[in-house]
Amino acid sequence: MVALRGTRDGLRIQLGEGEWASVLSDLTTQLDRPQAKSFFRGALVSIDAGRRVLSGAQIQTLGELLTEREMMLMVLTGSAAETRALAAELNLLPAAPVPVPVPLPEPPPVEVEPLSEVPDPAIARAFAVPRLDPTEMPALLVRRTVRSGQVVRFAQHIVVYGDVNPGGEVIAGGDIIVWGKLRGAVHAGAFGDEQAVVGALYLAPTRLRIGNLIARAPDEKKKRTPSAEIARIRNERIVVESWTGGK
Amino acid sequence: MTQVITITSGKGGVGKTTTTANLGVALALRGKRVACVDSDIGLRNLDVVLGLENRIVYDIVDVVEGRARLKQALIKDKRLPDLMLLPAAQTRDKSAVNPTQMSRLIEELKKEADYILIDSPAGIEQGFRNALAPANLILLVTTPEVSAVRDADRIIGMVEAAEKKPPRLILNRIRPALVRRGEMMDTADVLEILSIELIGQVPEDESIITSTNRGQPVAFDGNTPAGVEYGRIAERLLGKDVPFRVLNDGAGWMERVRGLFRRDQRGAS
Repeated sequence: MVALRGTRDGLRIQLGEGEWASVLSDLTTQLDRPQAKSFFRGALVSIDAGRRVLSGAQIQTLGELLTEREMMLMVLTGSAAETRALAAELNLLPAAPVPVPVPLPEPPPVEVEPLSEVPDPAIARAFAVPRLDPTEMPALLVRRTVRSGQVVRFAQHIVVYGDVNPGGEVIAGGDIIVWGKLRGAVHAGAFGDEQAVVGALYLAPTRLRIGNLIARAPDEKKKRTPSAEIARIRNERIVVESWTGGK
Repeated sequence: MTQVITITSGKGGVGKTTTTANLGVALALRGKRVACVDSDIGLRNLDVVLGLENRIVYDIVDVVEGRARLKQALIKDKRLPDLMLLPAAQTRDKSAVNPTQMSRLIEELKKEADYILIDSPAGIEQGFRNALAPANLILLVTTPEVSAVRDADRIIGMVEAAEKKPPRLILNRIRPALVRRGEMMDTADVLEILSIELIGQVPEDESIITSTNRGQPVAFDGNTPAGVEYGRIAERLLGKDVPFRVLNDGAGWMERVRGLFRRDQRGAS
């Protein structure tokens, strides 16, 4: 009834046919799956209404649903003319020059999980990235060492100012940059983005995944002198390059 | 104000019980009233290491379940009247006590002692959680081995998540000859991964084996290598500034100095 798909630009929600109430409940169930919740946090969302004609109130409900889960509605598309009109009115057209996020009611107070911060919604909106410019996307900054057994998940980029110890995991929809020693497991481009990169001051992960490819550190006995390196996909393989400045 | 110190590790067999017993003795020898608490229900060992297993009448589960009062279960060591033991039960398991009950019991125990040392079981399950709940200070014991350090790192993460202050590290069973040959991690290697404050470096010491079997902790004697270090850890716990010794005999010090330079040049983490 509702299909969720990860894309380069974020999360795409496809609304299928059927009663509005069941579509809504299906969407809620999918978004509230335990593993999904923290992962979708920060995701930019586009809704494809298909042939469905959505009312203003229904879009409002969808918007609230997303804000409650710290997700942001950016785009509304659909084949019905009414949908396009609604999208234009609410500034949710895909290629709007200066789109503004849908003005949403104040989100309800959210329980603060340890080691995470809920931004003031008004400030968050002011700082929201209006255009889906692939070179300017929100990143989660983790200012501590990720220890063994800890997992950090975010739908876009993740920067760790600290080490990632063996047994720790970092999973991002976008890039992963570690300003420290990366010795744990990482998965960049977790939604399937093969342009994502993994960088670290000392790159020695136990497991490295970008998009759908996986690689592991070469077997070495001696510690290398640490030098900054970037891993990316080239010619359908993960390669590691010395970081020489610039890109 | 009574200090409640939990000794934990994650990995089993790295020396938590030995450390608890010896620190207990070392502190009691220095005039403090110490209560050692064995929270390893079902696999109790602290009583054996302290040589008090024949004197167990009631245990921690008896107190929690109301069959005995705390004072009835507390065993006073005849060698050191300021040292007490609250033993674990052997015929139950860790589900017999929960963190709230543990905290309440420790709160009551504070009236009897200046220092409470809780010997945590290995692992990260209920027993560990019970031992962690009432702690003011956590001592993390590890050996200089990759697997132990991995587990120790996990424990630090869980201590942070429980919103306690970061633990202080006791590096145990160090073999300076192996460190010199580059076959064993040295203190700096371990600290590089764990990044917590060191409080003790205990060398490998054969006399631990005999002392465990006899139920006479080495800290009583204070002349064995480990015994000396346990004494120094006790002094540090009491607030004294006791410097850390370089743990090897003179031959290797040049190599260590060179090693320090190399590490500095690579850049700090």
